[in-house]
Amino acid sequence: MTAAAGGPALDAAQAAAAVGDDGQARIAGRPSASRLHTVLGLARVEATLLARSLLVLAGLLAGVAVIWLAIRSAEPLWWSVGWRIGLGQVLLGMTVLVVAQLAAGRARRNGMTGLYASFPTTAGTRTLAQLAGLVGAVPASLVLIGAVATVVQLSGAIGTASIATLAAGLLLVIAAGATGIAVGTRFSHPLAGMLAALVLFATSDNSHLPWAAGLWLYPWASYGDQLSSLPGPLAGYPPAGAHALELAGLAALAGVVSLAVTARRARARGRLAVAGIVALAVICVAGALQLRPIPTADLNHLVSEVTDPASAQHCTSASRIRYCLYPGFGSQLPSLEAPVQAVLAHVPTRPTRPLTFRQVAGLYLPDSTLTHGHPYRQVSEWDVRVQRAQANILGNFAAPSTDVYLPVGSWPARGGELADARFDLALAAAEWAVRIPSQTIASLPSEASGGPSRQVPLACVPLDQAREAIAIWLAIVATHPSAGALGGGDGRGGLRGVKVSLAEVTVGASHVATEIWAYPGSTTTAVSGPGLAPQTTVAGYLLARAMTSLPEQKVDRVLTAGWPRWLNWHSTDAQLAATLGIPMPGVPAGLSQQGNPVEPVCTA
Amino acid sequence: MTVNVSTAAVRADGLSRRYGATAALDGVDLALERGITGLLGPNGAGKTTLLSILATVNEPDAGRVSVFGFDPRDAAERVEIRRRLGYLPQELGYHRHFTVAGFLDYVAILKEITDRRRRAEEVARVLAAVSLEPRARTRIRALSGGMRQRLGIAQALLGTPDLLILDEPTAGLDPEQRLRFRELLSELPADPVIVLSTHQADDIAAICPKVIVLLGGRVRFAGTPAELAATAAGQVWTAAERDPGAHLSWRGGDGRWRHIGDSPPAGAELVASTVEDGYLLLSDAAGAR
Amino acid sequence: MTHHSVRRGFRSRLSWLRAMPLLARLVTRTMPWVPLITGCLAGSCYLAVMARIASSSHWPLGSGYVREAFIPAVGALAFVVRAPFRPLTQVTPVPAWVTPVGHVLLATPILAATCWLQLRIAAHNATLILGHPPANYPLIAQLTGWCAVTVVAAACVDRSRYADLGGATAVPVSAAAIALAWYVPITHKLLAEPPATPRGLTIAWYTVATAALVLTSAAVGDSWHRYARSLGRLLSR
Repeated sequence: MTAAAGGPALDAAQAAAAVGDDGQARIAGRPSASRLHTVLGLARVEATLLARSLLVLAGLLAGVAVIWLAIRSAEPLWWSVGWRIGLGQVLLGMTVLVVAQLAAGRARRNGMTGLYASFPTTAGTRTLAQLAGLVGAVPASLVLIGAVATVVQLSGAIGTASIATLAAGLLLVIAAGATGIAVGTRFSHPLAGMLAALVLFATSDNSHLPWAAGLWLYPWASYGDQLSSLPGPLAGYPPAGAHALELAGLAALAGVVSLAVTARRARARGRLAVAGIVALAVICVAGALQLRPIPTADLNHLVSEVTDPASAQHCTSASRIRYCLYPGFGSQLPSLEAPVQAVLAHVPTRPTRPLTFRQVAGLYLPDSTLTHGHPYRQVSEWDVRVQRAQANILGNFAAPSTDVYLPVGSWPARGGELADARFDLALAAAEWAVRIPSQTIASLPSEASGGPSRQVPLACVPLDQAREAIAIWLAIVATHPSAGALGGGDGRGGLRGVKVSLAEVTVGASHVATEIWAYPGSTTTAVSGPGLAPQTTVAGYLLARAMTSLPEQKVDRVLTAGWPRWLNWHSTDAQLAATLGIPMPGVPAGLSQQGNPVEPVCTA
Repeated sequence: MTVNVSTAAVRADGLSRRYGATAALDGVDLALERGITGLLGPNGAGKTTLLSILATVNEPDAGRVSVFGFDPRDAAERVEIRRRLGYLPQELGYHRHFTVAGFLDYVAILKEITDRRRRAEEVARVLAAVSLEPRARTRIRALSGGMRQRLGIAQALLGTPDLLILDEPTAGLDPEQRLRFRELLSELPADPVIVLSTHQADDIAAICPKVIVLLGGRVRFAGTPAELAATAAGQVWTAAERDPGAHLSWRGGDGRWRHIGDSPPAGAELVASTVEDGYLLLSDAAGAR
Repeated sequence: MTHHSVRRGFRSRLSWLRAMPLLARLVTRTMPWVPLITGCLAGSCYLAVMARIASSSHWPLGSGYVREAFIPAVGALAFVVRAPFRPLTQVTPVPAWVTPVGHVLLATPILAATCWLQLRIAAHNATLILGHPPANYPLIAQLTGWCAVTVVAAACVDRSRYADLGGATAVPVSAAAIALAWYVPITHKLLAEPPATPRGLTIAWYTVATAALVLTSAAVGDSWHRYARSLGRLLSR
């Protein structure tokens, strides 16, 4: 054979090896990279793209904002906050889903399927790499968790974080990303990813609706739980471990679906089918675990904690003031003591009757998310016990409660709400100190004609009583609220910005239209009681505000000198103003209207 | 004993491919050796279809393809072909938000160049080959059309392929860049099998030792550019006026008419035929059938 | 050499209007019907399911659900505002904005029908549970505002470097704009009820929609690059 023009020259051995059975020229073998290395290399690129995506960053910021709005004023209970972090993870997951879907459909959208088909790396390998690249979403999820955890810890967190709950939030993001890849391998149009993200949001937003017992089966549950009002963590509520397992199963199933779309060989499809069945089984097992009822003993214990808080709480006492808190809430004690001690620092003599600040927990037993799987009779029995206990809190006709109640989950963490709650607490302590009664039993005519009169507990109004102004003054100097928090006011002694309502106060046989002042915290639920709690008048508030213009020591001297006198309900605002040497602030007369509530005056 | 083997590295026998009623390829036989082969043909001749079949992107309806002895119908052998392949499609979409280097890095991984250092070297090498190093960090959406075409060529060169399939590689390139492209092909290491399709006959003449003319899905010519030009020898003439007897006529930049036909008129000023003349004559003949 | 005379003659500036009847068919053909109808149907199906659940559980379907259900349609609208082959259509006598505006006009009755259907579903539930249908006009104004904000976001994205992703960029941008308007206290007072009154809410959202459409007309026009350049210069100062 002679060399053909332009053809290469080979020796005999090479020539023999270079020709195949069909006479076709063969060339030297190429080292093939392991599939693992290719997957890892591509996964690194995909993870970097995901981590740097502006949309993921926007999802992270939106998630942080949503969580902040949800928890900024709430009591930092870890067993509640940990689940709330999941709301932020839902938003982050939505953006990861969209970005992953765009990545998976990238080749088709950019008209590069022909080029990609010419590469040795198969579509299945690329999909596997994209699934592995979802680790790029982990930093964002961890930043979300870390940021919230830091804020919660700095707010004086109660309880400890549940690793299972936090891990479930992370797995939610991964599962969302895997779903995005599954959608993108089939549908490259960006709208498909967005619709899938909206489905994720809608299922989380409405998880409580169709079937309460199945609340935890959705990717995340936004509503329908009573976590923030529980006195402590309750095992299985939520079933975080099982939920994390379900999310892992969902992520695996989505990954299997993605690979199945791109797999060509029968053997690969067979393996994927097996993997899919395993993932489905994991999801079913996790679902079954989540549907298990909370053990009866645990619910019994919870009901006991709620109905008989004294049996579960630790109480600390000092100088006739008691603080009874559920276990784990001890860190709140300084925050509660501070305004009360500041009030008492100006009180010359304390009442003999002790004052108790007691935490109470609300519970709604007919909520199927809590009591599913338990017999109706048992749930009713629990419910009756809880309702009876709550009635005692609201007001017992025979023995009005003298405790001040602090509902669990209502003590704010920071900001204006915390300032209002502290004022409310200080006012309760001050009213106790000046002996304003918590409520009055009033006799009202029977609804049936000729029948006996009814004894009804009513909130009373300390109308024109100096002790009311003193109580308000004590609360103001103890907590120093802003002018805005007190009700605006225009700084010139007028009523502009002050929140008022009207009441008809029964004085003897007549009614006096009176303007009632809405003090800071009056519309919140952080502090409740004692009893029905007296109303505060605008007149008393204006006098108290005028008193703050005097040096505290001067007011202290005047009060100390005539303390028994000022505790008498007959001592008037005008007398106090005259003794202090300040003009009595003018209060516009209230407008008598039909529909104003009728309330008795506080006596004794 | 030294033996020279001149066997075809890439062979196609009886390739056919239809798109609906249209026969894109109709019984195409070809054999490609190491070196550059130009594929010439008008739009719709089947060039892109043929190249996509050789690149294992498409499958023929009939016929066989063998690339370095591998049969693309077998999945494992198809992957082997792709390990030795560099492909520039006619319409190459881009991930516009990728940078130039990022895109090449991605493609390199897809070509199973997983070693990071080797990959970086490869990317630097192909960037230098197409003179795009200053643009390594530029996003693709900011590149001009010519630069994107060079980027497409660069990705095809990754991994030093044994088979380089370039569909219209000089589209969008200015004359200087086309010259550089020709130099690039001639300097490629390992003497790969290169097949490129083009409309530019002067590219064929300058680069390709072998040319295949594809018309109507069939191979009408396979040989050297000189042989293609020779098919029109004695059938090309110029005149001051248009000759209605010529098959093809057009006016040049000097204002004189150039004619291609079977019988030049007596006294006509015959000129040397070019590759383009030979191609046009073939094309015209195929159209007349 | 012969010289060819340049064709002279005067054409009316609006002579391209004569091409409109022919363009109408092409605009209809290039309209992305599938994403739009998919988005509209997806939201309506979701609302129908929620209405079913609400009716069987005897609670009223609030306007929040209608808003949620309309989001997919609004998202799909972001993919409608696109000038295909803009580098080419920008140099033709027929203005480049004709196609995207035509698409928006074609989408309007689809969106209106979707809104009507979803309000009917909600009204049916409200009548069953509350005994009377809710007032719809503030909600309609709000949804109109959402659509207009999405249209202007899509039009601006189409003129930016992110045009290739189109709706995929426009949807998050418009969602962020709407969310900001909802939560920022100054705009919240005007655009959310409460504290805004139904009448105030309606006026506010129609004002937003009008402003958005004015901005859209600037974004799809030829002079957009001038505005963008001026804005760029202003920001860089």
